[in-house]
Amino acid sequence: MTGKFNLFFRVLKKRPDFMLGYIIVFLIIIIAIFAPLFAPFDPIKSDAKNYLKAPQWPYLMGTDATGMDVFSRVLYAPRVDLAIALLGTLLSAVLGVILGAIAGFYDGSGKVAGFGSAFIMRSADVVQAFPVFVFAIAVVAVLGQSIQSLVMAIAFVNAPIYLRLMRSQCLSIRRMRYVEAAYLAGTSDVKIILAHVIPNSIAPLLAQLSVNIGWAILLTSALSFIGAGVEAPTPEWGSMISMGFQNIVTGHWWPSIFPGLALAVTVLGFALVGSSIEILADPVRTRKLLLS
Amino acid sequence: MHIKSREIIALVGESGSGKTILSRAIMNLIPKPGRLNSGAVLYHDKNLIDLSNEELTRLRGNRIATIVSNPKGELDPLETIGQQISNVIIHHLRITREEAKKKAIQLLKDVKIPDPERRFEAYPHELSGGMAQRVIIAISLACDPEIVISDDATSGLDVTVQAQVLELLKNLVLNKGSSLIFVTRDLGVAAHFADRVCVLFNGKIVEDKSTTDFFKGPKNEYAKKLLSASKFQGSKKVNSHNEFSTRTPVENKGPVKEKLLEVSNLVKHFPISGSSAVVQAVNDVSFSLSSGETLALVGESGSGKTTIGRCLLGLEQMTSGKINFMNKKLGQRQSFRDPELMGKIQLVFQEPAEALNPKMTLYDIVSEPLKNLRSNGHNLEKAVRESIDRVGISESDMNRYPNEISMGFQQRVGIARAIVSNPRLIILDEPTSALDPTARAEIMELLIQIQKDLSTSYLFISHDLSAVKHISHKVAILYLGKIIEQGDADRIFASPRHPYSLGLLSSVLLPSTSVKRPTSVSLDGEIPSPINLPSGCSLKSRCPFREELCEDIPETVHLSDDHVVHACKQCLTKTAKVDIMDYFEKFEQETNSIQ
Amino acid sequence: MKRLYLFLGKRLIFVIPQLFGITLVSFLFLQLIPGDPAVLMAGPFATPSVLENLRAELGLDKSLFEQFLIYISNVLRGDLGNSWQTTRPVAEDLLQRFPATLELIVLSLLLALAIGIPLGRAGARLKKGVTRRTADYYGLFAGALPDFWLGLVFIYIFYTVLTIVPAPLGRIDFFIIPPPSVTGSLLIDSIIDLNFAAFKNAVGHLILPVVTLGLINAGPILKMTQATMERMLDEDFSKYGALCGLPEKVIARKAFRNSLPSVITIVSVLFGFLIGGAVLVEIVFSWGGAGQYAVNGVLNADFNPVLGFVLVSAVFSLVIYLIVDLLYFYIDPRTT
Repeated sequence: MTGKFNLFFRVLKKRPDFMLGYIIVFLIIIIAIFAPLFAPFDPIKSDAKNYLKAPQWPYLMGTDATGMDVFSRVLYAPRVDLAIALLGTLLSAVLGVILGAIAGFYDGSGKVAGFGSAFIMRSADVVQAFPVFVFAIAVVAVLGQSIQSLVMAIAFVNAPIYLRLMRSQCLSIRRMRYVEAAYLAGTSDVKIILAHVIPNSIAPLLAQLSVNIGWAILLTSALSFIGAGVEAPTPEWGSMISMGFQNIVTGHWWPSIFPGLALAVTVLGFALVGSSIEILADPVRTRKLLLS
Repeated sequence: MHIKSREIIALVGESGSGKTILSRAIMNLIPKPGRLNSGAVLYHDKNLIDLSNEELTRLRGNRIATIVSNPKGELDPLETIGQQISNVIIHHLRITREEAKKKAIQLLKDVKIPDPERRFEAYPHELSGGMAQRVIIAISLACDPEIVISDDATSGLDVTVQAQVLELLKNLVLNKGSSLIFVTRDLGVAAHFADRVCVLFNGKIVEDKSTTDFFKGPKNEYAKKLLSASKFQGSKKVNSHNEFSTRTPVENKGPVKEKLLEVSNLVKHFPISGSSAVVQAVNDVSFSLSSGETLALVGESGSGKTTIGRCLLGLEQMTSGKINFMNKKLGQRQSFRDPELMGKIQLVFQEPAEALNPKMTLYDIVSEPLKNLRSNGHNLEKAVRESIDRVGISESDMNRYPNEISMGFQQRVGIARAIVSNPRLIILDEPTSALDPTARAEIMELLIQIQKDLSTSYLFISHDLSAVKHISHKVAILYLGKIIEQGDADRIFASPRHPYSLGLLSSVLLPSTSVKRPTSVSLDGEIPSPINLPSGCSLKSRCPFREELCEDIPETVHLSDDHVVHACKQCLTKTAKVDIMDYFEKFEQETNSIQ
Repeated sequence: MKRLYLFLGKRLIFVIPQLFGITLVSFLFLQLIPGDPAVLMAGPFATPSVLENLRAELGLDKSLFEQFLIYISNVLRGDLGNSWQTTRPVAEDLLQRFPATLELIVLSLLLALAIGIPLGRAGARLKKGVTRRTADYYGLFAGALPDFWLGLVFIYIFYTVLTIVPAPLGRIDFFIIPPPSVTGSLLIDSIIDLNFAAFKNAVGHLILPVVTLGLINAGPILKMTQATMERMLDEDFSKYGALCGLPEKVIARKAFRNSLPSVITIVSVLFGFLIGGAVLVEIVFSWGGAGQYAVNGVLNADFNPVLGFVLVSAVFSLVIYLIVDLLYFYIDPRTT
């Protein structure tokens, strides 16, 4: 374990920008948890007298068209965005890993299991044949507009990614000689998946997961932006951008630009963390980086 | 180190000895982040280290050419081989495309590629490994270089093809008046093709001698060890009281011996998707094995030897046939969930690294087979410790991971896992072919010792004939999915009767300069595709005894109790007259006499 | 040539069941969306008998299976039903809106390729330096920016502050008479019509959305080009090229050729994503594209536009995949 930590710090030393990613993610999580301590105003209380105020004291990021403090809302927003993205991604990973393991392990086997494996793959094909966005909106429309349905939408849209990843892992690992050796020793399928397939797939899964969270945050805010996600006045970056969007042409840029900036920095943080894990998950790339 | 013009030297070393780095250093192309710290590479009194990149680029492939292993990976998959040869010619000789094409076709002819005009348009994926290797040779000779470096060039090829390619390379290089450096770990290559041998160990040349002197007896300790390992002398010493055989004597010879494994009429066809044709991987194969005995399945790639092993284990579903093991039927994947069979057959793999789960400790790997046998904790631990001890791994290493130990030790772990469940039969699938000579000798010794102690039967699948000779009691030679000759190992090595057996045995490069390789019975060409098997005799395109129209149908002939051959009558009369197969015998005598 | 026909035939066999599957699933899926079109159309104060008649008229009183059969047979005749929001046939609406979306996507992807490929190639060939750094970070930043927000930033800078682009309200200004529709692409149509005023105006409207989508989608193209080409430069055949004394330029060209299949794949994936995904930028610029039409359909229980959109975009995706397969076929002799 110490060896792994050591490696981790050596990679961070080589790429200080990765460090920045970890700092961003850490700060965003802190902000999300302690938003009430940092926010100067109630994020959903509108002040009819002070609408569209430019950034000034005490409105650090100005106020929006309904007179709500943009800064306070930006600080509260990750509570919603992060929660939805994290839950959705985790759910999609669990769903994808289970189905992918079945699809990969029984691929091409003649019996019922082989049929099930083919069925899973064809379903994934159909899901992925839909335009991602329209599919996500449709999921929200079917389940009704709520945070739970956003989580489900993100889970459904992303599950095929994990499914395919896990399947290809399974396909290559099941041909590994050590899996054949396990067969000869009479080990059951479930045990083989748990003892051999999963431990050897964790690194690429983790890498995918960390890259995916950033993307899920973007999708959450995009859905809210078009009105299929979190509804105003709940503080959420996408819906804030949407609310301020009409004011941009008249020169009131702050209600849209600040939440977008916060969103971009957050996604960037997760992307940096993701690429560091991607490199760490691949021994060849890690070695290359450390030697460069 | 130095090389004169028209000289052939062999640079011999095991993996990690620095032989490839040295060969790359000659071209000043060292993989990053390595760097040449000091020294000089003098070529015609010019120091290559000091040359600019452009000057070096002009030399590479032009005056100094390299032939590499893994020929199919070295060629650009998206360009025809003609274009690739022409590119190199045009870059170095600055001639027109037409002229380059003419020259390229001539080169393809030189390396004996049939139908060179048509092959000029072929893509690398349409070529066999042997053909691709010839193309690489053609590229290397394209600009009449002064030095050709062959970097382990033939290690991936089948034995019969390897012998042909090396022979061809040597002749071509000598004809062009170039010098040749063989970079290899195989002393056999050195013995048969080089004028001088340089042994590399830990990045240093420890021995540099003319080939004949070297094989008479090297001075350096490591060089001695390497030579004796290549000849399997190590294990000789262990049981020197037994003059004649390194093998475990089989108890209870005679009619009463118990048949452990019986395979009859095994057939395995692989369907080709989108076509009605099938790959006939295994065609009507029968053999049997008694306890404590070793049967070797010998053959080149495509002979079906590995498929047979996998069918036995149920890893492949056989098309038809019968497999009996301990009086039970085998051949299903589920067979090994039967508690009576569980752990009774084990397998040792070719690639030790792939055979071990990188996320498990050595202890967990070795104990895995026992976990399903529901041994209680104490027994399990004891059994694991015993078998780890038996393969020579210290207990303090039990908590390490596979990537922390050397390849030879990885293979030992694989063997420990195989013996821990007390199996009756172990299938050894090319257990030594990925290993260096010294590790190879050690593993062979270990396997023989284990058989002596535990009287396990081995099914030894290999193309390494000297290892086969060393360990097996019985041999079955496979060609294109059929056993063409089987019987007592000594008898087959002394007087093989099938033309293919003759060719195969004669293509082995034994590490000795005093025994002459019988090249007159060498095979031509390459193994045909097992998709469209030639009708009649499957060897008719390659047979050294063939006549213009050889339409004889082979039949099964029992030459004696323990020697069966499947060949045509005409050939058998011819091979009976061949009396040159004392190749192995002489080698063994020589080896023994040195001791 | 025979190899080509065989290859095309094999691909086409898969297309029809795939289309059918997509139609069926989206049909069933949309039935799950709560909301009664009849109520929405007639308004909340309609009498039950009015609703009854309306349902019968829309075929909503029949069984699901019957409804699906009717829909399929209509689709085969080119009838995608009507939208109750626009009260026009969906086929006509889509015919008007798809070209708008396609024009936007195609130009954006061309821009993305023009940025991503040279930068990716340079990034793979160089080991250090400014270009390499730019390549490394471009992908990260482009992946982090929400495109709809970037569009807004551009509008603020170039329209509100600098006023050098037309208002972000559609594809062409109201006071310009658009050219007669031939291809549906305003650029091509105005050239055919020799209407250069319209051409200039349309270009002005296209610039910001195309730059927005182009800059962002250059990210994945760059990443893929760089990663694959770096891998190809590490392959044995590249090292062998160096051993044979081929110049670095030639080796880089070979490596790039070998990475083309992955680059083509990522472009086709982006295309498929953008058909629906461009809706965000379409909303920002009031583009009136197909994605916007479908999203409005979902949000207002107007099913026919959604089904029509899904069907047409599926057909587009399949055509794109077919083209991709053909490109593979020409690049890689190993394809069967």
